[in-house]
Amino acid sequence: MKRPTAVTPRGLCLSLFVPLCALLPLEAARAQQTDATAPSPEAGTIAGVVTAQETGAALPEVRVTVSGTALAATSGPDGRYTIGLVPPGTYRLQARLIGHAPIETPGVVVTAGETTPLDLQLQPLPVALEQVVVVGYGTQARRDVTGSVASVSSADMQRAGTVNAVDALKGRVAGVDIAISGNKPGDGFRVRVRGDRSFQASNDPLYVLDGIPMSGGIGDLNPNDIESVEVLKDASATAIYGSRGANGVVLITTRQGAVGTTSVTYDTYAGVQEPVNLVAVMNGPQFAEFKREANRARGQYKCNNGAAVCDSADQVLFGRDGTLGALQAGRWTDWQNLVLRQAPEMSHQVRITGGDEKTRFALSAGLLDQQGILRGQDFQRRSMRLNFEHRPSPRLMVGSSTSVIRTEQNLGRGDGLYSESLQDNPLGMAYDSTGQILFKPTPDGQRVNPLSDIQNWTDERVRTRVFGIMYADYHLTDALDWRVNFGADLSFYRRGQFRGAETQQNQGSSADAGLWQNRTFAYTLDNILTYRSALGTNHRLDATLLYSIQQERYEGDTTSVLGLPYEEQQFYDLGSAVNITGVADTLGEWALQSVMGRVNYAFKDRYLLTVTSRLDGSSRLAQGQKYGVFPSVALAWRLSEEGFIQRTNLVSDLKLRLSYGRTGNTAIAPYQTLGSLDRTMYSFGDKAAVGYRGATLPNPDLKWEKTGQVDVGLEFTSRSGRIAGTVDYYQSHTSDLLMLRQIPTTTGYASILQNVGATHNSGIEVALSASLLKDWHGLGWSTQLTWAKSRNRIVSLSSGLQADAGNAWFVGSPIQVYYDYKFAGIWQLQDSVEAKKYKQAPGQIRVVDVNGDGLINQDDKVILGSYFPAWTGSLTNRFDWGRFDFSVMAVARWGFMVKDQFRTDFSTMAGRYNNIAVNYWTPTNPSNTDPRPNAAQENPPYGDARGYEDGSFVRVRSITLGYTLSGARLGPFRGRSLRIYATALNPFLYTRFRGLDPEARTTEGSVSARNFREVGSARTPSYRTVMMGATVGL
Amino acid sequence: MRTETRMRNRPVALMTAALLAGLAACVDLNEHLVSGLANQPYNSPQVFDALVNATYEPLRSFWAQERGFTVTEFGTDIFTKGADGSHKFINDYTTQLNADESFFRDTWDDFYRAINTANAVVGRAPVVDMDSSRKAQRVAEARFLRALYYFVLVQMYGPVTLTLQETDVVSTQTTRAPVDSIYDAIIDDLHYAEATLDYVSPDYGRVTKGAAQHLLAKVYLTRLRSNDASTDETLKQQAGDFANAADYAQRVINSGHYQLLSRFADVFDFNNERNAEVIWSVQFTTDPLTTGPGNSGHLYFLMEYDVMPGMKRDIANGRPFKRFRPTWFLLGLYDRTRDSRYDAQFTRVWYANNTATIPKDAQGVPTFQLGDTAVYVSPTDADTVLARTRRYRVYTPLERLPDGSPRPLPYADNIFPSLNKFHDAFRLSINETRGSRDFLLFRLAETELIAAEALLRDGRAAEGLDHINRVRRRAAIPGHEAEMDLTLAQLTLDEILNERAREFAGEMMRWFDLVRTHTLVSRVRAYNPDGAPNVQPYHALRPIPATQLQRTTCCYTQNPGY
Repeated sequence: MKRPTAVTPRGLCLSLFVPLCALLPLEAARAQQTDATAPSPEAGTIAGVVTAQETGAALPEVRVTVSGTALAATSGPDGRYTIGLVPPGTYRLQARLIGHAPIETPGVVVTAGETTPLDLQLQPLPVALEQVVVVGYGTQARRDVTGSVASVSSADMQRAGTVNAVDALKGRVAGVDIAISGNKPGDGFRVRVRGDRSFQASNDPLYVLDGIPMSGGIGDLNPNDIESVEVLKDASATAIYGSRGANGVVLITTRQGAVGTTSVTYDTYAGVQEPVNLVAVMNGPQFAEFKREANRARGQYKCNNGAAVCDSADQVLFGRDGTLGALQAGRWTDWQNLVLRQAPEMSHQVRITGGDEKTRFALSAGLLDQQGILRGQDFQRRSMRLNFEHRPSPRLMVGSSTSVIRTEQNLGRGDGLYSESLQDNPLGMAYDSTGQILFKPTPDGQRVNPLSDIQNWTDERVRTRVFGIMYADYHLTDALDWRVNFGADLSFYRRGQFRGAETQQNQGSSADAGLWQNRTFAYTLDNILTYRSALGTNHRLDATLLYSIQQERYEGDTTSVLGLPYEEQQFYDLGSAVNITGVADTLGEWALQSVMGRVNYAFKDRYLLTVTSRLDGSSRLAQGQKYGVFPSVALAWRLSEEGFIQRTNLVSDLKLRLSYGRTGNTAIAPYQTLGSLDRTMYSFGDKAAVGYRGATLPNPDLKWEKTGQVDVGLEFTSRSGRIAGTVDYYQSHTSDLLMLRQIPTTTGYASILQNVGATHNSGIEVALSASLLKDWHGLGWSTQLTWAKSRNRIVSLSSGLQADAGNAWFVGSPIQVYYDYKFAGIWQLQDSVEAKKYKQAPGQIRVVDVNGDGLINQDDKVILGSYFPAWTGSLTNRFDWGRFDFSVMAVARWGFMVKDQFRTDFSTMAGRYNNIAVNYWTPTNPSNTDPRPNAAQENPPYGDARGYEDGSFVRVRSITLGYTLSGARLGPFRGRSLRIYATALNPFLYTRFRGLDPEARTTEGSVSARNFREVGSARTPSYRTVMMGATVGL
Repeated sequence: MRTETRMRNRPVALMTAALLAGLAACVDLNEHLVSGLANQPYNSPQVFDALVNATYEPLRSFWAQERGFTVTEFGTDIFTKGADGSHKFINDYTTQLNADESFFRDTWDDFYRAINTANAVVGRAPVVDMDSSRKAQRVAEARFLRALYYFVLVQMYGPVTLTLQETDVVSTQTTRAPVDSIYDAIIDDLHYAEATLDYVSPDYGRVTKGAAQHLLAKVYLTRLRSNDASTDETLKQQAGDFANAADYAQRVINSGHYQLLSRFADVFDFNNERNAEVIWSVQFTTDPLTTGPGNSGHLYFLMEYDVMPGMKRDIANGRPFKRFRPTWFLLGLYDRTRDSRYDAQFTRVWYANNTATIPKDAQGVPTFQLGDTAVYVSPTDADTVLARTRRYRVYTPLERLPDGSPRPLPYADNIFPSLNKFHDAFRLSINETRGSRDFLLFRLAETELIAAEALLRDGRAAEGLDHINRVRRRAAIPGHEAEMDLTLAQLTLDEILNERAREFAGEMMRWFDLVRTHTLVSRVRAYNPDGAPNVQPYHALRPIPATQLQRTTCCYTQNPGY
């Protein structure tokens, strides 16, 4: 065997390739197996294999019919079909599979006593209607699904060409809103299915990986390992997850090997990321004038002859901190430019899948290396996975799906680094005359050289996760299956932080370090009985019964120290420090116990009924309130089976769905029902005096938060299969909201977790896909559109209050609103009399005196807007021409407000730090957008009022151009397929938003609605990635 | 396939087995809190002691913190706003000083939580298994602390909720109790503490009899009986408040446990914080694990020395927040020829510590060396001449020269003599905010001035004169003691307020002193140029936090004017 040469020379890949070659002969041997079906003497037989045209994979469940006869067959798991007893003659054969274009093969000649071989190839439709979907504790044929379930296939995921599995879902499913939580490498995402509904409990969906709930989201997963993702949206679909279904469920199925072919796939890409949408700060001369104006405003910049600028005043002002020389020489530093870079990113993955009738497997290993656009930041992910399935007997199947993932995120100073570069005095110098980094470009006690932070500040977060699932499936009878699933999720997290003396934190005094470690062990054990039976010709019934337990144990500890004797040690010799500044550790445990039943009933394949109910018991709730029942019922009517629809000849598939269900939410921290004591610290002399005092009152009545949801949906596929779509309308009502109810602090407590209040969500979701051109002069064009509009409002609050201004919760308004003073411009010179009434002066920010009482106080705060978008949407276009494919995807998030903390934090107008280059007011420049700089204040009064902005944006997510060759010669050996592509990720952003990125925020992952109001303050610019990649199939 | 056959015959048995296998793994849904304690009844002496300790902790949320300094020094006659900080309207009395201000809200929240903790100590004590005299002492400590917290609340907000029982169920109904009943509760608690505690505690920093007596004296002196100044004076005299105040102050003075140090400067010597003048102090340590937020007083009174030529920020000189600038009035109160306290507590000279920014002359020679004077904030305009001849920076008070032209280097909101009572040269790092000094909450000099004021207002001025003169003589520059003596004619309430300003500048008393003596409006109008245009009589009370009004079911009223 020759070594492949067309792949990158990285050692990892080569070492994995070599042993693979040994597998190739096996494949050849298997292909020679012959079919044992003997033809009958009076009639002929048609037999063959149905495969997918693109991948060559065997296609099961394909209905092959002989036109004009009742003769038909369905292909088996290996794609084989056999139609026997065919009278001799010439026939036209039809093959159909949902999600694929039906094909017809005319002129099939059948001779008595002989088998006519006919292999068929089906092409998948661009329409996202898969044949089989995962619905939780089982699978279902797409046409039988009664709930609102959206699927995303691996092909779609891969086409996104992204490092993160969540990111790959973006814009793929109507009603699923995905936003990044930051632009640092390895940053997470915030996912909302049909919006927010809870105040206090998490609004994150439940993630289920190969049947096992997975805490902390799927960000750790390698997207290339994913076969499909199903998003369960309505209550009928999610109620089987009962207490955890209220926020939607994301089911992830990892790749499994296919019978009959061993394939080796190598995926790689490499690209460059570069920052986009930078915000301009002032340059040296602009900053100098800004600083002068700030000091004029407080009467500290005075020239004798009344001139605006003079050397004598400059000498006092700039001589103080040593920047006079730079000012006079016209030298200045662009700090942003020093910390940003074009950053490389690359990925390699090798996947081997295969199997025979008894055993299937998928083996993969991947490496991702992403450098950050800020110097000193990077992210690596190394992952290995083995999916394995074996049938020791026809009735028993055992299997496992195990992955080990290690991620390492190096953040250095994180977002603070970019902040430093924006705020540093441009008149300061980065390097001294010998080329050494100047730690203090100016004597300002808060500012340092960001290059020094890059060198001396480490923040390394390493997570190792082992996610192992084992299962056994036994056919008790032909109709009855017993499955046992056991899944264990072990995760080890270590964050080490080291800050040398010469960092912004330590200002040259001494180094400090901290170590955070936690260990989480969670397991799930499911026992599932499944019954499937056809009762006569008109009835089909399947039923599922589940008993499940889940437990999690979390241990964490942290140590922080100050005064490290030598800096090389980083955080690996904490004991050498002069002071221990913090020690803490914690233990948390919770458990869930559940019984679930589900019945699917179909009458004549056209009337479908699903009834489910789940009983969940959660340790997190109070005694006597621990159990909750979550029922649902759904009806579907396959109109396309009805004669009156079939006669219209418009659709090949049309289904109307109606569902109602109740789900719960217990995503609160454990131990909340017990009430807790806070630990306090005091001292007598130098002796520690540890104390305990009441922190929260016990609430023995804490119970489930419940959501009832009604969903009406319509799914259709046009007769030609070229247009398909889904429309859903839903309403959900969440009651017994878990909420930190604010109580008067004169009780000694600020809040208590209670079930109070209710919210209402409603919305409409549309997903359309169309094959606009099919082989028009060789050109194919398909398009997919998703659009979702949802509305969320608070229906009631604790104690029947209509408004809780302290929390910015108002009945009739969304959960997330901005409630603050309304910006009304800048007080102008001609307004000075009016301004004086408000104890203000021209040049200051003016806010609206809503009640006109001449006072600005809490009565003048108004609801300014909501973070909740009016609608979200996405549009994907794909063109195929010969071996080329080209696709463009754009997403939009429209009609929402962002509190642009970035714009206010970096525009403090004090003249001390550098500022966003705004058009500020001066006595001669009547700007109405930004106030006069003033060195006598850290922040301008009502400065926050400037920051509320429309965040609407349209972002081109990706543009990909690909070229595919099958059966290509790849250098010295023959491959199965080759695809090379070039992708631009996030190349364009269209928005009126003036901050860094309307989508990004600093808070990560699972944040409650309450914290989520603090958005828009992300301090790393967004970036675009341009990459080249190849997928090689062997 | 024998196994298979057997199984096919017994599907029911197998199903049962499956379910049993699952049920055997039945989980325990009861919660057991291990890291931390649940909020449940207990009688363990250790947890009871911890509850008492927790009653002390809120002292650190107010005293020696930005919040406490801001609400007691801003908007008075002796301090006004410096360049930095976000709570300037507390000084300026503009409309932003309203119910949303976090410092008023947080003080309210923390002290009511502290009161609830004290209530828990008092209420749970009967079931605690502990030596009875020690238990009584602990209850006395908690009752003293409860009284202290209520004393701050009633002075700041007027009539407020009065609860003496621990909260065990949620209630959103509460009302404002009359000021009188709050003072009655405070005095009741303090009498118990005074009777129960000793002058000396084995744990330095616990409440003592002396602390209870000092606070009783102060409470009697402060107790508000009418919003009208002269009516208030008459009513207090009639009720015997001044006599009581003088009595308790003299008990402290005559106890023999405390004495004035011979030098004012020694009281705030970093290495001498446990001295004979200290009656009671809020505790801080050098250990970051036990010092909590630390004494952060070192931050706020410093001017911006660190960007001056030849200077950089370092630990010894401190981290300058330039928050509180002394008023001209305060600086003018000291007769620097005989009163040592100006020189003792205001830093005016900084010595070069940064070669990189030392100015160079035309030949490139540094104009001064490391360790030389780099900045001098002169107390007098006469130093203008000095400013012209010296190579270092000399700042002088007035903004304009006699001819009206601007002076190049006047005092400003970032340049002023810097109060150094809380200076902490032993912090762990340059930007460390946690200082280790104890905050001297009660010291004998104040007891003397309380006695002087109480006796004066009780019509016994001659007795009072001796008390104030002890403090003044101690402050004298050696050899000038006799010149510091006041005569009987000079002893007025105004002069006592001035003396308190000289002695306790920055010690978190001023706003209370002005309110207590009904002089807030007149003194702010006269001496605080930023607050003068806006201060109104209603500012003698702080706004009730908006959160309290919003969360209370009915009828919690706002103080007038807000």
